[in-house]
Amino acid sequence: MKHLRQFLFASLLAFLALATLSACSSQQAGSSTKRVTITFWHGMTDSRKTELNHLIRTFNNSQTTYKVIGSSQGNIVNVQQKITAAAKSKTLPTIAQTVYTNVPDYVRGDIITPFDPYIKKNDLSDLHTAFRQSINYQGKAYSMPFSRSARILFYNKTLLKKEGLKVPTTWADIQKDGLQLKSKGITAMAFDQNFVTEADGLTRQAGSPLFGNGFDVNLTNKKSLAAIHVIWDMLQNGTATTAGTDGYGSVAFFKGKTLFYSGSSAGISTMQASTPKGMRWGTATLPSYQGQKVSSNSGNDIVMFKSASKAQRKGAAAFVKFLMSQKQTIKWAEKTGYVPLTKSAKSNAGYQQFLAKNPTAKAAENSLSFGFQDKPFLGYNQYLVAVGKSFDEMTANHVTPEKAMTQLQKQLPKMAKEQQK
Amino acid sequence: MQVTLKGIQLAYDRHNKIFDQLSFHVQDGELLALLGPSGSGKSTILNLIAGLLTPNAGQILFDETDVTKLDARNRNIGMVFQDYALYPQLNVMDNIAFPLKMAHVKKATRREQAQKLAKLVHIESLLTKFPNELSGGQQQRVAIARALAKKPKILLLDEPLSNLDAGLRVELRDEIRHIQQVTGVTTIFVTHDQNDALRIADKIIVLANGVIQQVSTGADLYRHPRNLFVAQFIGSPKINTIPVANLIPYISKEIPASILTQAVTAAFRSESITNDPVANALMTNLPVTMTHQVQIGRDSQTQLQFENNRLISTAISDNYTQKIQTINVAPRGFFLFNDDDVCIWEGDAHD
Amino acid sequence: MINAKPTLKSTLKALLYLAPLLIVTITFTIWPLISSFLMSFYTKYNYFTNQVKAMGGANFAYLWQNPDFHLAVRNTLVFVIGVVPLTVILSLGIALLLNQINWLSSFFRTIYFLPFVTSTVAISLVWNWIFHQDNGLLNALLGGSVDWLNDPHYSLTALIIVCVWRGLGFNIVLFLAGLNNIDNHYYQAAKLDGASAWQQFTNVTLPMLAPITVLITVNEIISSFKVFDQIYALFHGQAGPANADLTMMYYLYQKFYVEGQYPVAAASGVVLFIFIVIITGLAFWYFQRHSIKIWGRRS
Repeated sequence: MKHLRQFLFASLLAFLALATLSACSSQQAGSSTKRVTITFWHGMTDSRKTELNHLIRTFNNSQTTYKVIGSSQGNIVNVQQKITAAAKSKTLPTIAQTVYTNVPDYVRGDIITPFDPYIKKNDLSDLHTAFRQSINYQGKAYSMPFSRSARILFYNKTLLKKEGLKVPTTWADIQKDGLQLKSKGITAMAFDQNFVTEADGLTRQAGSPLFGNGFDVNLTNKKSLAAIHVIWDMLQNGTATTAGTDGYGSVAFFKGKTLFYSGSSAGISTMQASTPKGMRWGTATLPSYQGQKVSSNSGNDIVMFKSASKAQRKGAAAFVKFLMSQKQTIKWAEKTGYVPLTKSAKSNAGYQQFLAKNPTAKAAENSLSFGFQDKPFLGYNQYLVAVGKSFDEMTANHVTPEKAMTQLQKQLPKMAKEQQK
Repeated sequence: MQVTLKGIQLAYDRHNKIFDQLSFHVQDGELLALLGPSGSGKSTILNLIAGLLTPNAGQILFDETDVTKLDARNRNIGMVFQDYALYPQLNVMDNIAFPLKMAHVKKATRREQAQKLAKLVHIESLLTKFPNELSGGQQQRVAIARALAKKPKILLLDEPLSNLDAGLRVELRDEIRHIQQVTGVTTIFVTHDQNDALRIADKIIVLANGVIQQVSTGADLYRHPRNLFVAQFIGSPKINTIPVANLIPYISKEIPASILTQAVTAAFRSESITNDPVANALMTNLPVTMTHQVQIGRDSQTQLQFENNRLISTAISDNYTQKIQTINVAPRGFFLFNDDDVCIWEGDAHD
Repeated sequence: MINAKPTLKSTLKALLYLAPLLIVTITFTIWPLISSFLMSFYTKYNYFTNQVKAMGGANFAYLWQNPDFHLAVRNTLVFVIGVVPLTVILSLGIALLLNQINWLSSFFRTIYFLPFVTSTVAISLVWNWIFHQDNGLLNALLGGSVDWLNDPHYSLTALIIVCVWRGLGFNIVLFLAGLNNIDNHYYQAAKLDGASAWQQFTNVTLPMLAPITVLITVNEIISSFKVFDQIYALFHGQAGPANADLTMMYYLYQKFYVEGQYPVAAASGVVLFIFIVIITGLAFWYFQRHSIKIWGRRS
């Protein structure tokens, strides 16, 4: 008992001493530099978090006016939930990493502010077209691209050679390969949890995109349905699978159960780490449909909150510009597997060297010229949930695209009306 | 039914024997009390008879039948537990009828029988009540009725009165005797209270540390204790005991020298101590000082100090104003014990 | 003073003592309850700016017509009906077995309790493997080829299995405590009254365990109505294949965090609350009515 009390007393003293020390040091730092603090919530973990911290440190060391403090929330969903809560309690950070499709909701909620006053249009001219378009909402740049990736095709090199097949250039090639492989219990194509992203691309190639102009889409026209049928037919005849609760199609891919896998380029580094022994795989751009090539770009942007002071906003803009600069975006891409944001990166000697050493990264870079992103609109997330449900019906319950899309189309007016509230 | 225990041995483990060679016999229709201090093994004997415990060696006979290995369910025994163990979710009627239900007796018959039993124990007005709505005494009666429901050949009562207050205790004590006489069932009841045993038992077994000290009637135990334990355990106030060595100068010639040389402890009941002259007194003129005198009901108790020993007398007349200086001890109620605590001499057995 | 009369001063003093707990309860329980109840009636509402432009019952009307919500209610009810009796019966059974064995009983107790203290994510990972169509343990044992997690016909069953398994440990411990509280004299009395082992179980064990059974049942009903994290973890952040495991709580989550339909989420929360209140109310009413059979006393 006596020992315990002594121990507690000692720890209390130690704690007090530490508290005083840290108070001193933070005061010193604050008083000597008087930097503007920019708080930054992000969803990066592990090696990506380390790399981001490195970028932040580089930025902080590069000037004396601002100080960025990054804080990882575990994942993007958590960041989103934390923003929802912090908006209420008025404890938002200066900037946060978030899905750009949240922008309309945040604008409506009046919690974010555009970057336009601080970043000139000129500064963005080198960004890939898809990125420049996606950040635009109601004529203003409400977000800045950051961690972006492209959808690419993974193929099992060993299997491809064994079957005497070639890397497909069209979706019809994949359909054909599927019929050849079917008898061996191998599928031609594996998708992630569902095939919404691929269907999004196919319908776009067909000229009647799933995600077009808000709720004003025509899901039941022939072009769009034919595009969905490309995949749905394969799922029905067993030449393609969705990952379902496996989460990612890479699981089936690594088991050798599928020849191709359509996945995000952001997954390359994870996949390299978990490749089974003896397996060799490569990447390519996604095949064309109706003579067109597209690749869905996904990933996260940075938004700036209205609660930030003018100085903070300036600092945030400086930081974001720093992140988008040629040197940093290439470095970020090389270390994380995301894509460089600028067009000119491709001709950068250093990056070319990197691509030569890392051939799997080429496909993503090559996809950027025909990349696309859904246009953000109010109610996007609700629409995405509804689309997801319809595609689930098609996959799990074998509902035909005609029926599923007709049902979805019927809900659209109501969903659009709800957004007027 | 007669109950016989022969050479019972029971041990929880090798070193802790509870009983070794325990034997006794209960007559048919007898009311037997197992009397002893707590920890003497009384309740264990009940559990052995009931079949809730199996002896390591020895035999238990019901009449001539060996039931040692027979399951408790089939021994046809009624038992009343110290805490009554009434089923809380059943009302009085269902509690009493429970053993009949287990025996698949028809519902109408069950109810009829339960009512009869309730009448016997005077709880016919409580049949729809639940155990927790009853007083201790009422619960006791329900427990007895339940134990009697399947007309057992043997009724076992484990400390049936210890949870009751004084008034109820006396009432139920007589009730148990009454019920036993009406039903004629062989009854064994366990108690640590000599009053309960002396009052109603036909025969008493005095038990200490798993060993039977004496088996006899209540009067006999009091008048002729076989050993010092029985002498001390039976009787209130407790018998006076003094080392014989301290008494040698006062002991009369009535006691033979051969006895005296063996005697270690002298014990004499409170009623044998008087300040009046006594015929054939075994001890005379013991110098004492009176410390205290109280009136307890009919009796008056006088506390006396003899050397380092405290004595109690109930034979000194009350309101005795004069200081007592010497006492005499009468033969009746005087005992001598040897160094094995066995009684070797009774004061009034040699007239 | 036992006979002190309450005065203004003593009442204030009592309030002061209660204040810390009251403040915590009001801030973290009562106030959110009220505000989400109010929010469920906002029909034109900006969550971020907190502007309420109109109020009414439209959110409830929406739920009344929304097929997804109907599905969520149906799934939740099926889930509750699947989980609660199974959990109660299984944990009682295992508790009885554990109570019988002395050898290794604390080892088994720990084994059964482990799931309760293990993170849902870890559990889901393990079960993901067990349920896997191609090389899962369950299919290997049953010799079938059921895609437990991706087939809408089986995925709710899979969820029920996981939740029952997870809840067992805690309920077993509660039942064991209940069993330990039964005085051995009741069994002895029943034995002497001629009760067989089964009759002892039905006439002593079951009635004596009734209070703890009521507690476990009501607790299980409430927690089953609120099931969410197991679904989220087991189905990779989805409500099962084709919404086959969409429960009311998951619906609420989806409306609130994913779709940003805050008032609809609040309304579904109110409906869930009403469901729980009604069902636990019914359960308590039933147990009160039969309290004499269960507790042996009128209440």
